[in-house]
Formats: sequence, structure tokens, C-alpha cells
Amino acid sequence: MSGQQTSPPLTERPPIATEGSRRAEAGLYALAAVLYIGLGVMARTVVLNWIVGPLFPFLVVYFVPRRIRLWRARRSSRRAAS
Amino acid sequence: MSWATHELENYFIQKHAKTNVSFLAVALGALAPDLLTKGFVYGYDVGPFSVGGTDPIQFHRGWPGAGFTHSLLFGVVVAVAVLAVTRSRGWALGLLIGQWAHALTDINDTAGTMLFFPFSLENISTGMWRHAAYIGRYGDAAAYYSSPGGIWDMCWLVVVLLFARTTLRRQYFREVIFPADPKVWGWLHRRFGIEEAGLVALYRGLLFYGACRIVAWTLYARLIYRAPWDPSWGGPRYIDRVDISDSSFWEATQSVLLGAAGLTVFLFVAWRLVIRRLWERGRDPDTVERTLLPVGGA
Repeated sequence: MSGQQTSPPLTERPPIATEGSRRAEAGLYALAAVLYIGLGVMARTVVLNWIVGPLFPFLVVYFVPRRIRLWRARRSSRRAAS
Repeated sequence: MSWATHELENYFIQKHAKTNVSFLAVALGALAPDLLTKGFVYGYDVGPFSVGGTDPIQFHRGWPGAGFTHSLLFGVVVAVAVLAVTRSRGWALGLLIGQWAHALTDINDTAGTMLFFPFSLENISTGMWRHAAYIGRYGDAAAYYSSPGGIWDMCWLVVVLLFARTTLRRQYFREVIFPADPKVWGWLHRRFGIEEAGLVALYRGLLFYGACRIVAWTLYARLIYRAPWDPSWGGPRYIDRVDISDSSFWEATQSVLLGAAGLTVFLFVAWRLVIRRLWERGRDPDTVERTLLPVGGA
């Protein structure tokens, strides 16, 4: 997690979502739902609660993909540097 | 008690509230009556000690007990306290609407709620499904999703998807939700660097949780717990019906009418003496410097 100084600059224009990005996002939400329901049935107390439930789509749809993108970008820049 | 309804109704309320209310406040208000009491309702073990759970229904909905958290006056008290401290009209109104929605929704089980507490200690109930907290969390879930309660939740999901689906769009978040709570969403962005896609995922989280837990608990009830499916009014009949009140219909009606009159008079006087002044010195959310958030990857 980055602090105030490192957060990306705000843009002046609303982002334009492409059809592809919308589909990717919908796919991630669907994946999150399937994962959550599957885990929920198996580990009810841990998963089906007010904390994990509302945070789950944030993790699957945003946080994890973002971490993967950052990791990939770092790896490719390292390769380019070497 | 209702299960997923308390998460789902927030989006419908947000869409149809013709005033600038905070979605976060509506959500918190809708969770508030159960937030501090639900753990004790089912009871839990702390080492060798067992906490709560001796008379779950009386504790959850009765008096003496925490039943006052499901009264209309509780919502007013919380909202007025927040208005006095923060001066935020959007938060005060949001908390009030959310808590009232919760209290009104919960009249559908057999325990009902003391809507007009403390002016009437009578629980108001439509008796649509049986309150089953006394058989523990898993048994309660299986009973609820084998009764009209599960259908009630599903109806709310359909209502949100049909009549409030615009609230799920990113543009709605940007134009309505974010400006109503610029401090909280802005803090999440600045402090943790969460982009718009992440904030929208957080915002949609309650709907996701509500929808998914309908499916998960229904699967659990059908496939694992194997509870009999009984969607008839007042079901499921495989568990005992437990009522808090033993009053006759007329006694209950009389008590409720007196309670409603008492609460109305009290609120009128409170409005004239205190609440109106607090409301007038309150303020709406700051006009946001229209900070549009950066594009976040999906």
C-alpha cells in the first residue's frame, strides 16, 4: 500500500471503459462470486461474515490483479535493465 | 431476522432517497442493530466460558435485552447524536434511514421488533418466517433459507437488479456516492492509493456479499444441513415457533397504537426543542472539488 506521496495523480477526465475492460471486470466479479460461494459453503464461519464478504470483491477484482500487474511490470523492467 | 436483505436494501434506498444521503451511513445504519448484539445472540466460547446464548430471542428482540436496538427511537437517538457531533446531515439521515429499514424489515419474523420502544414493549410481527436463532447460527441459516425468508432475500436481490441497477455503475459511484462522502472515499484513495476501480469494488461489496450469501447458505441448507424446504407463511415448521409476546391480538393492538402515539408526540416535541436547531446548524457534504479518480485496472 502506498502513502499519500506515492498515490497516482488525479486525472481531470473520467475514464472511458472499453468493451474489453468491462468484460474483464465482469469476468473477475463472476470469478470472485464463484470462489466466494465455494469457499463459503466449505468454511462458513471464516468466509460468510460481514468483514470478509464485503472485502472479497475488492481483493479479487482489484487488489490481486493490481499486485500481479505491478509485479509483472517490475520483472520486465528488471529484464530490460539487465 | 432477515439475512441478506440488510445488505441489499441499502442500494435501493440510496437510489430512491430524494436527498443527499451518505451510502456509507445507510449501510452502517442498516448493520447497526445487529452489529454489537449478533455475537451474543448465538453465543460463543471464550476459553472455558460461554458468552451469551441463554435466551437468544429475548436478548435480541426483547426488553430487558438488546431489543431496543431494533426500535425506531434508537435510530433517531443515533442520528441526532451524530448530527450533534459531526453536523453532517447526510450521515445523520443515512444512519436514520438505514436503521429504520433494518427495524422495519425484521418485523417479518415471528419474534418481531419493538418498533415503538419505550412507549410500547410489544413486538410487532407479520410472522412470515420463524425466528430460529435459538438453534445456533448454522441451524438458523438453514431454517431461514428453507423458509419464506430466503424468498424475501431473493426478492430484494431482484428488486435491486431491476430497479436500482444504475447504482452499481461506476458513473453513479463517481457522481453520487463519492461526492456524498468525499472525506472517507478521498482518504481511502490518498492513504492507500486505491484507484477508482478499487473504491467501486468496495462500494459494490455489500451487494456482492448479500447476493453470494443467499446462494452459499441456500446450498448449505439444501446439500449439507438437508433442512426440509418449507416456503409456506410462518415456516419452516420443522422448528418450534417462539414468540416473545403472550398478549392477545387486541391487547397488542392497543399497546402498539399507544406506543405509536407516544413516539409521535415525543418526536414532535424533540424536533421543536432540539432536533430542528441541530438540523439547521448542520451542513450538507462539502462541495467536492470535483476530483475524478484515476482509472483503475479491472
